[in-house]
Amino acid sequence: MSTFSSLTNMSQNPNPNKSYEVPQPPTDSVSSLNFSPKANHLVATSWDNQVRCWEIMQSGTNVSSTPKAVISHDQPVLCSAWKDDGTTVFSGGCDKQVKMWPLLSGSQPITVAMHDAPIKDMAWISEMNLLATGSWDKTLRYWDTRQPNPVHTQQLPERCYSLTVRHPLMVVGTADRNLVVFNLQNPQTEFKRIMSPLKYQTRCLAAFPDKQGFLVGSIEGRVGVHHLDDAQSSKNFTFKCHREGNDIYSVNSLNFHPIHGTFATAGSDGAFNFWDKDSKQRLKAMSRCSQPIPCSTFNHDGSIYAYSSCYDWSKGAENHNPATAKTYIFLHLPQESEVKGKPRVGSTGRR
Amino acid sequence: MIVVDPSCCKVQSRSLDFHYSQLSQFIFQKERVACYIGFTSLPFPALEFGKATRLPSCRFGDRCKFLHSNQQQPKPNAFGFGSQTASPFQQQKPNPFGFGVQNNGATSGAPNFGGPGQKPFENKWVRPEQPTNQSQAATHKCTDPDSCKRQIAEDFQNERPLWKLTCYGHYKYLSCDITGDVSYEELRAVAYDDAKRGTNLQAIVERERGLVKSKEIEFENLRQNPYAKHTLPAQSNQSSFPAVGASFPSLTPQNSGPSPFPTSSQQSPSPNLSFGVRPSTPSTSGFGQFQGPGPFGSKSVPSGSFSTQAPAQTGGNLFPTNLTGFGSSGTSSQGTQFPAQGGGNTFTPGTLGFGNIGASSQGPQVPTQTGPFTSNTGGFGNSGGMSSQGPQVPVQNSPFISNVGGFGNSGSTSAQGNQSPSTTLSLQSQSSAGNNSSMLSNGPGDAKEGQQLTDNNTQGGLATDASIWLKKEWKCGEIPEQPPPAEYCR
Repeated sequence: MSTFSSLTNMSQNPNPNKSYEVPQPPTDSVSSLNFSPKANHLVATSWDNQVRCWEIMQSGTNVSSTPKAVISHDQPVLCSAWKDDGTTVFSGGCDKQVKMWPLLSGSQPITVAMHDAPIKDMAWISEMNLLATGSWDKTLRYWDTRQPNPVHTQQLPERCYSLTVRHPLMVVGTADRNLVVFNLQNPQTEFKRIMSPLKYQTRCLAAFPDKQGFLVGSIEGRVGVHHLDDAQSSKNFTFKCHREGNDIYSVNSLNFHPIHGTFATAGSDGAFNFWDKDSKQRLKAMSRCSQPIPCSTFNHDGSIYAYSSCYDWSKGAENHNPATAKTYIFLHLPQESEVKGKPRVGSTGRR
Repeated sequence: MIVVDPSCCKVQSRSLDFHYSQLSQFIFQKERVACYIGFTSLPFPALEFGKATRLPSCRFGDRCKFLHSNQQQPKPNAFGFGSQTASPFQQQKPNPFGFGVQNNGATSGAPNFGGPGQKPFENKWVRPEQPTNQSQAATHKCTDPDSCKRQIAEDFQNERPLWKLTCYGHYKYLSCDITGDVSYEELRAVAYDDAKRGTNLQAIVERERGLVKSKEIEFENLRQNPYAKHTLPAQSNQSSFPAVGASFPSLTPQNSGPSPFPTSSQQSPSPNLSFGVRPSTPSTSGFGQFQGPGPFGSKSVPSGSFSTQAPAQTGGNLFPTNLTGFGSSGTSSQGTQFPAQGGGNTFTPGTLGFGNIGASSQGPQVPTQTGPFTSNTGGFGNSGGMSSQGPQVPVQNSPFISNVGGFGNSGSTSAQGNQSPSTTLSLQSQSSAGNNSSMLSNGPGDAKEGQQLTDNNTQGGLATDASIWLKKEWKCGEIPEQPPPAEYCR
């Protein structure tokens, strides 16, 4: 008897949406994808201890890419972040440290942050000129990259699983459904702590572009739309996604479109979908890849949606076959109809 | 029953400069009474304290059997410190951060949705949720065990995610009934680490299966006995940990073993080994270089917002909160505070046993209440209270460790505790067997220990029973659940 359900429903096509495949992908699963805020430079961290960078060229519907650079960690890398000026990449993971990689200058990476356990997620906060790192050591730490010690260490109720920042709003999701909200104007104080509106393990978070709330995705194939202000709580809701019959996959990634304010979800079912929370519509459902999508991201202008398709451990070690596993990074160019919100039915125009 | 004289309170609160300890004591006292008379929110001087002192919400939070007419949750910063920063936010509620686009949501908000005029889109949006958040108590009160039971059964039947190593809370915004999340990445990190050290794939697979199995047992237990579990979330938590801990030898306790092993990472030797290799050399040299002008030297760092906070200070800040707020112990107590730390592993089974006792002896007695511990179990209440305080589940272990004296303040409780050692044993061996399929030998030993601990605790509780009323102030966890005997009432 297998305790993890078997891989039955997956389609066999690794790339059913005919996305552009990035060449020379990592040799093991991708853990994070991030575009430079300034240019089409894509960084992927992966379980083979590497951080890779590609330059993506896009003209109309044609895409091409060139591998640019790579650095290594001593352990699997779990997360990454770009500095706001697009010059520098931060990466961290199981080696419990963050490396700062001045990519454009070509300098060697240096360690700028340390934790007592693997670092799961991080964000560069340009408004504060600080790096925030969240770890399984149950702390959140803020780093001035020129100092060896954290500027501030914030205790978390549990191991950090995900964090999202839209200054001054930061939301940190931890194990056991804690969601801790910070106002970064006063980062030492929890602004609010709530239990997730979802019932199971938190996977990912995304703050609303208007900073009024956040999305939370869980392993139960559901996304919660949560507004911070209690007066708006009537607008809170959750919705199901990334399910197939009785198989309930996790929501692994939530990304807001940088222009249109709609968002994408990606899941262990291998699918990604585009949604508009304001009109409560699904804008587009893409076909399921043969492997899960553990991470995804938009580029700075939202013209490219990058996602990785590879094994995410959602079915344990027994369903991992290193010999046959293949890691893909795909680029999807969203149509406007896929990512531009539609007016709510029955009302005139979007608000 | 103690009778609170509000005038007395007023007097106290008017003297503005009274000490924190006094305050906390005062609050505890007051709160306790409040619970007895069925208030959960504090009946009085909240206003007189002003916002500077945040009164704790009912310790039993959502589990309180009494209605929470005035939930504390909506208050931002319910967790205590830094109230001065919180108040501005309270004022500008509509736009908490004072930034960004303000949704004039009312115009197009939820009302439309699901309305009669709405066409069914080709989408899967569901559950147009009712107002949630602050009114959560209104949407689902855990006062009806049947409804909780139904909810849990339904969830387990229709909403079982493929990933099993998860926590679970049977209603949105309520704290977890089962804790002990393990994420894909955590499991994978351990697997990679094991593989690196030569563990073969089969062993890794077996270990993961063991974890899943024990988790499934935990869920099954909750389904079968949601009421008991629900009232004692601590227990489920703990039962999973030994398993996680045992079979995640390479992971630090804090990695794999959720809250109840609050051992701070620094203290456990294994973690550093496992995730090891800290290239300290590059790092220091890197910092050295960087102190120079560096590419980013020109930028000013608004460290002002952080003041000069050293990491340690966080704890400092938190601590007072603990006193008043009843311990966000989940947050602050994680490491150093626990003297029993070293024995974390051994202790856990004990607490597990304890939990089972609570569950088994109590469930039947108070079938209609969510929080039987509130009223029925004197000493137990402490732990229950601690854990249900606010949304923080991970508190559980702290009461067990630190408050031996807090157990069983009342005779009745301890009697209960004593009654059921056999239950403990059976339950416990069952679960530990389930947990550590790979470590069966542990089972009996653990169970024994659990029982011992139970006894100890009970005795401790008895001993402190009377003296507690003579104490000048109470620490977290030792606050009695029972009204004081008449002779202590002035």
